[in-house]
Formats: sequence, C-alpha cells, structure tokens
Amino acid sequence: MSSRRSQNSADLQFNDNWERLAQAIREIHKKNASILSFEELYRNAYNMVLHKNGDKLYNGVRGVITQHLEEVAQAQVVPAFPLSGASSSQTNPNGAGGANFLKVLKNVWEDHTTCMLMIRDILMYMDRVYAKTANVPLVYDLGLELFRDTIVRSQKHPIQNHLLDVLLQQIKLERENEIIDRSSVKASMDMLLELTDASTKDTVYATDFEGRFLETSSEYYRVEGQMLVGECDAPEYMKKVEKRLIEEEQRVRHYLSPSTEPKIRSIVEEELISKHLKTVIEMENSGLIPMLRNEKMDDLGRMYKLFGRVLKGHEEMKSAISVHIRELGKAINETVSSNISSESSGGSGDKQTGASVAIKWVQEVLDLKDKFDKVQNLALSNDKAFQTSFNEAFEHFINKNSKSPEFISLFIDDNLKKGLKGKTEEEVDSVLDKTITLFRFIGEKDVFERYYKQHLAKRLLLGRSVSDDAERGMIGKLKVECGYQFTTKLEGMFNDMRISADTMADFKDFLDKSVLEKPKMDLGVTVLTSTFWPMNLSASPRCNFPAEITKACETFQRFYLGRHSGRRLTWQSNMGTADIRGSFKSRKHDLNVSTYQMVILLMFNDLPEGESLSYEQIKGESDIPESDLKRNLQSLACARYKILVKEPKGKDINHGDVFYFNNEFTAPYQRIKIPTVASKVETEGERKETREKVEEARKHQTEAAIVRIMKDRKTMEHNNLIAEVTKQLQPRFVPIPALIKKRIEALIEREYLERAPDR
Amino acid sequence: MTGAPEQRNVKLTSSEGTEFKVERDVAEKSVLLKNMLEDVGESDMAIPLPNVTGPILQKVIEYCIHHRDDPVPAHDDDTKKTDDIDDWDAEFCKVDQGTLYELILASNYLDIKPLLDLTCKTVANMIKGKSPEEIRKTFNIANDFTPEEEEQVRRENEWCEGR
Repeated sequence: MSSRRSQNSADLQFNDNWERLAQAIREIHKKNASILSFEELYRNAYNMVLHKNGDKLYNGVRGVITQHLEEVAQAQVVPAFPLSGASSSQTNPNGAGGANFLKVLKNVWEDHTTCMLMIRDILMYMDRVYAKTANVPLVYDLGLELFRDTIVRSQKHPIQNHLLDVLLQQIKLERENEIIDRSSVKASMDMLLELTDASTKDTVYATDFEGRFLETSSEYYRVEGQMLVGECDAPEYMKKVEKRLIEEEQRVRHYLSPSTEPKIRSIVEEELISKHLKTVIEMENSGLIPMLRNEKMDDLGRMYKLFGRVLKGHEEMKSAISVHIRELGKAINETVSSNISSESSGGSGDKQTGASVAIKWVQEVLDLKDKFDKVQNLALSNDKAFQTSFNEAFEHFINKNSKSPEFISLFIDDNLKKGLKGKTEEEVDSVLDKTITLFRFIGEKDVFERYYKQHLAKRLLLGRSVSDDAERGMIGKLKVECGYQFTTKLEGMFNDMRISADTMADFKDFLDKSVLEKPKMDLGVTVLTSTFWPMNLSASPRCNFPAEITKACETFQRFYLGRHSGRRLTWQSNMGTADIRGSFKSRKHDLNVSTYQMVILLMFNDLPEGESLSYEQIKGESDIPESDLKRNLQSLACARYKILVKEPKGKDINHGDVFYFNNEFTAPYQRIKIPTVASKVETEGERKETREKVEEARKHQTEAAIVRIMKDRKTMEHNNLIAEVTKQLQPRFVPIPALIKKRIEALIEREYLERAPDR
Repeated sequence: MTGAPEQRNVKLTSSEGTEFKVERDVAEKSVLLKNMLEDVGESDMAIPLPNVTGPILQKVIEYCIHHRDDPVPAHDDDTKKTDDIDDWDAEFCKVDQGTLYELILASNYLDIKPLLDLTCKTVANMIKGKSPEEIRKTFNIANDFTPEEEEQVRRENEWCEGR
C-alpha cells in the first residue's frame, strides 16, 4: 500500500537495483564472481522483492540467462557439431568429432550449473519469498528449464539431433569394440537425466533419448541375431549372447540410467534369445541334442541360464530334451525287441541270451538315466521342473516296453546271484539303488512283484543268493517304495527258509534216534507256505521218483506231519537239486544236478552198458512234464557237460531221440555243476500265463479296494468310487475304469453291494 | 558434540559501522550469513549489513547466542501456534513496537526463521482478542473507513465473530 507519490522513486530504485544485479549475473557468467559483493547483491534482490518487484526481477533474470545461453549455443556448441550432415552422423564413421562435441557440451553444462548455483545464492530471498508465493520454479530449476529449451532442445540450432546421434553413434562404436570416452558420454547422460520434460514431468533422458536408444538397439540386435544364427554354431552363439548381455548391463551401469537396464535387457533377450530359441536348439551338429550327446555340460549350463531369461526358453529346452529321451528310450526298446524276436525265430535258442538281453536293456536304461542325472546336476542346477519332465519321459518309454517289469526283476536277479562279475557288495548295492529308481517308473508294479517272487524263489531254493543281507536289503528298498503290503510275501519266503533250516536239524536228530531203517541218502527239504511262494499247488508237476527217494520222502512226510497236524505237503520236484556221484571210464565225478536230471540219470543206472533210452521211454517212466523234460535233457546232452549222448546229434530235443550214457565223459574238475535251468526271459506262452495270473490277482485287489472303500463310505457315486479305487490301486498298477466297473457289477451280483434305490 | 572444536569468529558491521564479533555457529543461525560464508569462504573482512542497525543487530546476536544449540527446525509445519513462546523468548520480546518491527525486518532479511516466527507471533498476540478500536489504538491506526464501509466489512466478517 505504498502511496502514489513514491512510485516514481521506487521505479528508479528498481531500475538501479536491477541493473546492478543483471551486471552481476553477467559477471558470474564471465566467471568473474570474485569481484562481486554477495551481501550487496542479496540486499538488492531483497529490496526488490520486498518492494513487490519480484516478478520483474524474476523475468529479468530469465532474460539475462536466456540471452547468455543463446550466445553459448551460437559460439560454442554449434561450431563443435561433428562434421556431418545435419542429422545423419550415423553414416559418418568419425567418432572423434562426436566425442569432441560431447566434451564441449559437457563443459557448457558444467559452467551453466556452476553459475546457476551462484545465482541461486544471491537470489535466495527471491526463491524463498517470491517464487513460492508466485508458484514459479525456483531459480535453479528455472536455469535447468532454460538450458533445456535454449541448448538441448534449441529451436534455432539442431543441437538435439546432433546430441542424440552422437550418443547413439558412440554406443554403436562401443558395441563394435571401439574404445570411447565413457566419461563424456556419461556427462551428457547425467545432463539429460537432470533435465525434466515440462509436460510429462519425466526426465529428458526418458523422453528424448531412451526411446530412440531402445529402438536402435532393437534394430541392431535384430540384425546381429540373424547374422550370428547364420554364422555361428550353438555354443558360440550362446557365448556371444552371454557377452552381449554382460556388455549391455555394464553399459547401463557405467553411463545410462538404471531404469533403462530392464528395458535393454529385455530387448537383447527378445532379439537374441526368444527369436532364435528353436533355431539354436535345433542347430544341426551343435544344437541341444548334439550337446547332450557329447555331454557338453558347460554349453548346456549356458543354454539353461540364457534360455531361463525368457518366457518360453526352459519350456522349449525341456520338451526338446524330453523328446530326445523318448527317442533314445525307443531305440533301446527296439534293439531289445529285435534281439528277442531274432532269438525266438531261431527256435528255443540260448536261454542265457534272453536274460542277457534283459540285463542289457536295464543297463542301457540305467546308463541313460545316469547321463541325464549328470546333465541335471551339472548343467541344469537341479531344476525340479526339468527333473519332472525327464522322469515323465523315462516313465513313458519304460512302460512302452511291456517286458520292463520282468527285465528289471531279471536285472536284480542277476546282481543278487552268487559270485558274479566280481562286484563288491557296495557296487551291487549302488546298482540296486539305481534300479529302484527305474522301478519307480513302472506302472505295473504288481507284474514286477510276480516276477520278482519267481526269481527270488529260484534264488532261495537253488541256493544262489549272494547273501541274505543283500536280499533283505533289496526287500527293504522295495518296502520303502511300495509299503509293507508289497513285501509281506517276500518276507514270508525268507521266514520259510529259516524255519526249514530248523526243521531239517530236527529231522536229522529224529533220524539218528529213530529205530527205523535210515534212508540211503541225505534229504534236504524246504517247506514252503503255499500262499507266499509263486508255485501253483494244483498244477504241481508230476514226477515219478525212484523207489529209494520216494521212501526218503515218505519218512520226512511222517516226521513232519507228526509234528504239525492238519498240514498237507506237496512235492515241488521242479525246484530241487541233487548231488550224485557218477562213475565214468576215466574217473569219478561229483555231479550237482536238478531233481529232474537226477531222476533221468538214475534211470541209466539200471541200464547195461551201451544200451539206450528213447525220449518216449524216459518220458513215460519219469512222467516229467514235457517242457521241463526237454530242458533238462538239453542241459545233460547238448550243453557243455555231455553226460548223455543223443542220437541224432543236434541242439534241440525231439520226439524219437535216443540217449546213451556217455562213459567217455571227462572233465578237469572233480565237482561239476550241471547248469540248471537259468532264469530267463519268458516265452510267449509263459508270458500269457503270467499275464492271466496278474489279471486274476488284479480282480481280487480291485474288489478288495472297492469293498474297503464302500465299508467306509456306505454310499458313494459311481464315478467317485472309480476315482477312489484308482487312487488306492495306483501304487501297484494303473487300473482301467472298465475293469473297476466290471468288478463293481460282480460285487453287486454277489450282493456285496447294491444300487441306491433312488437311481 | 561437547565444546565446539575450532570456532572462527565472524565479524559483522551494522549500518552505522559498529563491528560485532560472533562465533561462526552463532552467525550461521542466519541462513543468509551461512550461505554467504559458504560461498565466499572465510575471511577477516567484516561482513557489512547495511540493512540492520547496531542495537537491532545486538538483539539479534543475543537471540542467536541463546538459541545456538537449538536443533535446526524441522521443515516448517503449518500448524503455527501463538501460545508456545517460552519465558526467555517472551522476555526477549518485551521491547517497544518500533524495535519489534525492526527485529521482524532484520530476521526476514537475515533469514532467521525462528526469530521471524517469534517476533511475528508476538505481534499476533498483540492483536488477538482485541476489538477494532483497541487494535487501532494499539497500533496507532487512524480509522479511515466511512460508517457504511465499516458496516459492510462487519457484515462480511460476521461468520467469524461472536464466538
């Protein structure tokens, strides 16, 4: 509320004050600040603001600074333009001009900020009192805006174009391995980062530079990606990509804004990885599959790391590896089935080969598993997702081979058999541990159980187990996998073996004390609980024993039944062994043979020298089932030790063949073990039989599961019941719904279940 | 910190040329002096303060010494109260109106926020609870309203009266 009279003098006062300030600012720009009096300038500005001339002062300052900056642009910045066309310095390889331009700009910028700091201080009062109330930028920020509009985005000079071009060009040069002056690039970036765009409130860096930078980078890497894919093999390509990623990350760290980092990273990932995923994976001779084949762990690891950066990367890798595993698995399956078919076409063939095919199959699968475990471990940092997909692939091809349960059981059999291949116990144990992992993949665990029981029975009865501990260890492992139920019968078999040993000791005592006539031979009997063992009672093979043996058997039977009333003993003549002494022309040999072979050989005892027995005669007298008879005759007459001589000669036993006792037989050892019928791959017929047995067992298991569930739930929807039954049976086999449905119907028929009345 | 390490003295000159010696931390209660010392650097030259008279500068320095160890006020909260003046400050402000106004001007010029607040609050307290007539009397203001004008102003401000 000054009075009008003082207006004139106030104007004069203002002009005077302002002139002094404007002059001071000019001096500051000339770097002559030291000659000025801070207090005086402050007081001038103070007085001007105090006398309500803040706006005039503010606009005056704006004018002086703008004028100065325009002069700077004209006199310093423009002459430093790199020698090139107005805006296309990219075609100009002259990096030095660009670098010089950046240096000039850097100096201009630094001068400006220094001056603005001083100007801010003397205009402190204006900032505090005027700028706040008038809602205008503080004087330092005003300086930034003026710099932005007069230099960086100058309307008069193409500074902006030059600046951006030079920056992009410098980056391009660096990408092409030239050394650039990072500090001046960084100074420009910092400048752009400090300036704010008026409309977006974003930094000028973000509005003017970043977009173009990303655009050119995207283009650059698109071209590079295409070129590299054509030129490099997969490992080299990935090394280059990895290097690029590191470079870009460093570039951001050294002179760009951290906010650019994820953007440029995703561009490199998109252009160099995502777009070429398939191409790199499928590269002939160097892609994913060759890497796996040659176990290039480093390359695989690099691929895993790189591809993990992009969305689909691991997915593609996983499916490619999975397909590869399936193919390898298929190949293994095929060699096996071709081996088997070639063998069965060659007649009865060598049974040992059958087993060895199985063992070879398992070994190959184990090797494959080992290999991929190693890949998983070394290259894929134990990624669970990969593990799952690998397991699925293994499961797929293992179950493609319908014989896999049998093969795995045979493989275990092979490893648990006595004195094989000089493996230590630990080695065997580790092999079995691995085998268990294969066992996990089997869908039809009940089939495996059946085979395992058969093989175990033979090992136990023929005394070929390597050790009880090893057997028990294996059963323990199976128990861990499948639970108590799965192994009770197997454990029962062991129990029988133990009890039988006790029984035999008692039997010896009994014979010693007995007044009866002692049998002329030692008899060892193993009493088996019929439900535990895989033998079929009703189909127990017939065999006519010679009189003395029958007598011994009867003695035992009396002894045994006398101690345990109400039991029934059935002789399993196909499972036993016998030690007999044979007198040949040169010397005597102790022969270890099967019960059947003993029966056959004893027939020749009564025969005068040179006489023969025909196949039919032997069959008639012994009553041994045909297939067993053929097999045993084969091992006596056609194998390594020819105790019998066959007419006509040949590998196979046929009707009408005639057998002589081979008196000329010689062998280097006193004790000879006639190879007994070894465990082998089943023939088609046997397989069918096993299959049927398994199906039968499944029926019972399914019914049991249904009844168990229904007892608990009382009523249940059909579909839910099927789902529940499937869930319960899963650990043993995968039931088909039709089977369950049939069983439910059968149970309804037998009135275990009934339909709910409202259905 | 106990006991300032190495306190350099700063010389100030009032409008009539009287020289005052103060320790630097006391001087820096004034943002103006603080910035100036930072920008110009220390020197033995006295800093002229032509806007402030000796007696007022004396008062200001007295205030700054008393408050030298106060924490730097947190960014000014807008909830200003006029009844939070402590005893020393109240005693400090028991001066004639002329001195009080000069203190206001000096603290504004030197940019000493707490002192500016204190002095302004003191003036505000002089107005508080007074009738227009009393205020006019206190500040020696002639009533230049016509009765009509006065009535209008009263009506416009009715809402804030009668509490």
